[in-house]
Amino acid sequence: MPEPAPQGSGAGPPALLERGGPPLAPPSRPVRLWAVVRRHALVFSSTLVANSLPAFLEPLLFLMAVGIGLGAHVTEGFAGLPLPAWMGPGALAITAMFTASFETTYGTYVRLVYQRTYQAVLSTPLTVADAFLGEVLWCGIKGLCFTSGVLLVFMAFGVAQGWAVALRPTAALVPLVGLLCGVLFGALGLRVTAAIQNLNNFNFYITGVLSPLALFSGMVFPVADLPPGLRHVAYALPLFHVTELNRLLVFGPGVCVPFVWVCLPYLLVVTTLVTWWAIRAMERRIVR
Amino acid sequence: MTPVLEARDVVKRYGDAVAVAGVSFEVRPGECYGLLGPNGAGKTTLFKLVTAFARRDGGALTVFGLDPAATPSALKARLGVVGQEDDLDADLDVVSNLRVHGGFFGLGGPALEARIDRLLGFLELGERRHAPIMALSGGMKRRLAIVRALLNAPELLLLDEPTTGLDPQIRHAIWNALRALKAEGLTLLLTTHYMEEAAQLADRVGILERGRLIAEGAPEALVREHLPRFVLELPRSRQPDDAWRELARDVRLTEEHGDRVYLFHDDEGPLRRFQAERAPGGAQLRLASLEDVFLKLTGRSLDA
Repeated sequence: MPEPAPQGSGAGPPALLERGGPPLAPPSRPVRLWAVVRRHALVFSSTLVANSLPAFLEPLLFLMAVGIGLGAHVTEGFAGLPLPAWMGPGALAITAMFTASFETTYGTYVRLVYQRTYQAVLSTPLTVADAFLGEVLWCGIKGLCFTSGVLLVFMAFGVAQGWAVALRPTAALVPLVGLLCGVLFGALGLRVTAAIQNLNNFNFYITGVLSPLALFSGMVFPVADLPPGLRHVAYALPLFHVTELNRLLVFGPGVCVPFVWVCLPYLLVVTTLVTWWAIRAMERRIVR
Repeated sequence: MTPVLEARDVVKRYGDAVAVAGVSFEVRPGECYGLLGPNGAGKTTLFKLVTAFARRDGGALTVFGLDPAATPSALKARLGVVGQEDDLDADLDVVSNLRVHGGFFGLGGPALEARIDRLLGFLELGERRHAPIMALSGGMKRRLAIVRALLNAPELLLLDEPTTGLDPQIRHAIWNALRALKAEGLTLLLTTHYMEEAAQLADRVGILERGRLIAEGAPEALVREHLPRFVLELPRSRQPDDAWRELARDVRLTEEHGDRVYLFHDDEGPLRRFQAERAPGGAQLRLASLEDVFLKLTGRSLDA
């Protein structure tokens, strides 16, 4: 970073402003995005326990209650896997989904309306697109980190219950799916936030959209078991593709739908579109 | 000299409402320009147009020769902005606020740290480096907002109502700081509805009323141009009509606003006599001010 030379060296008090240098140029797009991510990481690290514990606990409790409690009575899982093993990839998917969703719904709304954070952020070289691309990128990073944590616990379950032999080395790539899932649901949450005038309205989105997604995206039971109409709806849900991609990486193609190869391109296209849609909506909300 | 900011017939509408109805003015290098007007006159909208928070509907606007609508980032890299409302990052402490904000300009490392130290010292916030934002008083928050706006060594500092809601002592401290910055050659553009603030800081003021610039000039020159030197302000209820008219005969200008009557004259004598004979209590003799100019031009008071 070139530093303009201080003015008035010699007599007099030191200059407060270092004026006289060349005009400050705006930083490049990656530097701007990194600055936004850094802001969120700083805030997050100062409230680590309160922020991360619920996000870990939710899928763990779910795995324990349904996977172990119910699983003890369900001797047969799906696709030759015991129930907890079958449900793991879905639990990994909802971890990333909920982590990202809370960040850009309640979190972004509070920053936007109550704390006026973006008023300050957008008085700098950052544009609306910079600020919110940085935000969904941060959601991706959070998705990656939380998925990694839950993945470790999931593997420990496997060792304890004796089905760890079924795990594939490609399971190590699951956090990258968590990143993609975090960006996708971060952006979707942002789109909802851009439209909302009251904090309470997020309840509709959380319980009306995200919770059904969690239940009907192939975590608890195979989507193929749904009646034809519903099945095709479920096949279109992005979270289904996240779950299926995780399942592919963790247990291989044998336990997946035949069209599992579509999942990654589908997610990439949907994520790009939703991100673009969300940023446009935010621009319209903020710049009038 | 090329102006730092140049507005030509700038128009901004919100639906059917016209917030800025063709405003032209320029801010010259090194000067402090004050936009004066009551709430709703269009001051904040003009700021939003400069910082690309609002889209212009007409006219031309450039800062450093750059159009905010075309190159907002290049423009904002050279701008400092102090908003009207507290927009400090409540999730971060004082020094983290500044580091993060510096990061948005691509600044960091020892150079930024040195700037942070120097500017916190300048606005007497050095002791509060690690305080959470919630623990700061209103005056401290405003000073911190000024520190933050100076991190990028801006060429133009925008201040939207910089001392609204602050007690007089803090207000004077902020004025002193702004004067020190101006002495270093920093160009300032501020909005205010405090006449005293404009008179204290601004080299030139533009008076905004319902989206239009209705007068412009140096504060004293504006007063001289529009009004006699002295004014006697008295409650309307005190005037016994006939006698009042007779005594007011040689008063140069009479204005009535609300429940107040204003008698203007270039000499103090007639006004003082009037005050002694007719309005012993409740009347105030003083020098005509920007506030009176505003009242004369718009028929409303600034605080309304």
